[in-house]
Amino acid sequence: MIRMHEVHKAYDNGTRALRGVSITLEDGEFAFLVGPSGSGKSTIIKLLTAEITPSEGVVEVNGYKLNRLRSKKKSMMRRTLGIVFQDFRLIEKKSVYDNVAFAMRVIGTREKEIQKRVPYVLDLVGLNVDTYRRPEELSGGEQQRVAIARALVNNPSMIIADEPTGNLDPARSLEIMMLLEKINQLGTTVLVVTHEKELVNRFAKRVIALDNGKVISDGMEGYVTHEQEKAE
Amino acid sequence: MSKKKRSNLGYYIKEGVSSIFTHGFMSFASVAIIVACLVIMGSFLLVAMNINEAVQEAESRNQMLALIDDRLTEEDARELEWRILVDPNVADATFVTRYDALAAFVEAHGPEITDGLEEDVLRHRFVIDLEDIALMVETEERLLQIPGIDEIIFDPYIAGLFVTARNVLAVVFLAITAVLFVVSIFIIANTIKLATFDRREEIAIMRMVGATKGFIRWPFVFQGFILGLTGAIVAFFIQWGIYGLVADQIFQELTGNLIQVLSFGAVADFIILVFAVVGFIVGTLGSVLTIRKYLKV
Ligand SMILES: Nc1ncnc2c1ncn2[C@@H]1O[C@H](COP(=O)(O)OP(=O)(O)O)[C@@H](O)[C@H]1O
Ligand SMILES: [Mg+2]
Repeated sequence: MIRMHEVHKAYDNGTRALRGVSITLEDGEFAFLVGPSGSGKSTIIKLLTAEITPSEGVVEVNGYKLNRLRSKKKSMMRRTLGIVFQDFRLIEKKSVYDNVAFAMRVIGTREKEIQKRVPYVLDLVGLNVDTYRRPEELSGGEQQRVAIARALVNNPSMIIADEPTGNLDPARSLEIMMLLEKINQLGTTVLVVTHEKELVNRFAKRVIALDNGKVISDGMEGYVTHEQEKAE
Repeated sequence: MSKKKRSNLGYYIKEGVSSIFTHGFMSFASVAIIVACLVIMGSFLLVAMNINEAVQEAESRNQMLALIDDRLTEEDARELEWRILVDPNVADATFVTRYDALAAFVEAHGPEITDGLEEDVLRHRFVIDLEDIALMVETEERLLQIPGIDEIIFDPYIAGLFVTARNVLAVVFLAITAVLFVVSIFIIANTIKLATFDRREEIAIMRMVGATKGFIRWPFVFQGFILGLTGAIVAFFIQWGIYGLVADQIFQELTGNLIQVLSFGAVADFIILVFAVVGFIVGTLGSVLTIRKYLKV
């Protein structure tokens, strides 16, 4: 669940990345967050994961108010989130299995539980490779599946993906989007950031369009650009 | 959400140790620097302890001789004891007859030395123990006021020398220790900084999936702590070796002279304690300072 109300964000250097953004995403929803480069998409993701705090306005994620979160609460909030990035962010020196298991180990899960859960999640994301292989031996699509498995392994209530298909060819991109759709159908809230119009329009999903730090459209009518917005 | 938790202590130590080995060179360098600092500090400490011992020794031995006027009879001379004892700086006074004094002198230097001397060549005397050797001169002045005391003999030089040495050493020791302390903390802080930098990707993922601040930080605290303590243990043995060599040398040269060298066994407990405490503080403080700066959650 996401509630952003009249959120502004100005970076230390004065850049006004967000200028009054209000977005609500209910539990179980699926939404694309789209917009040209520099429109503020990643800034929203960083606010939602409590990397940064808003200059103004209210941000609430899965019941946690993020404006002033203590370190302990911040950790607990992040356990309700699974985060996926364009560049996968896998640990090169760890095997596929250990990359996923790592996310459980570092929040103190017992090894027995880890051994049950990791194979299950790797299977869920459709990864059919030896799990002792290193990330560098896998294709981009496979690496992103590992990253998604890692995001899912702690059973979060929401997945947030920032340009998850940015490094993949169109066929792999479609597969990853379909995987995220499947995950949503299993009950997890999903927010996907992308600027790939083609891809977005293949799915009949809610699309929140951002431009220059503002929401310019929000609905089921597909990817809307600033020009289209003005023409109407 | 109520998953069963395991204890993390083993994990922290394991990660701390493994980080030490992945940065073998830096770990070696920081342990070496800590060892060097501790040994330098320890050497000063040992010298200071020995001097202090010598001062105490000198103090316990430090006596004045009050020589009594020849014209007094032995009885009259003995009578002076209570007048000497009222002096505030006198701890004790023992009467020695001129004959006993001569006998002791002969014993110390051989019979030939008294050839041709009368049996009563020496004077009756009191051997006076002092409370505070720093006040020797004042005490001498007061004792000379007592009629019947001819002369006071003492050696202010050696006691004074020791006292000065002890005070100078204390200051030098504190200054050097402070500098070495800062150097050690700095090197540990840098080693930990390197380790956190090296593992920044893992740390970023830990933060992302909701590892707690403590979980992320503790391995580095243990890393610093283990480095500090390793330095302390190595330094202890090196100090032991060095001290053995130097102390033996001094023993051979100076036995029976001014300095009685302490045996390492007598100070080992104290040295290992000091090293362990300093190593612990340096290691832990060095890592905590770095972590607070670089490992925000
Ligand atoms: N850490 C930062 N410091 C200063 N400016 C930033 C920072 N991060 C992003 N920006 C600026 O904020 C604006 C929005 O950036 P971002 O949210 O990354 O956009 P997007 O992800 O949509 O491409 C851009 O103008 C960008 O240059
Ligand atoms: Mg971006």
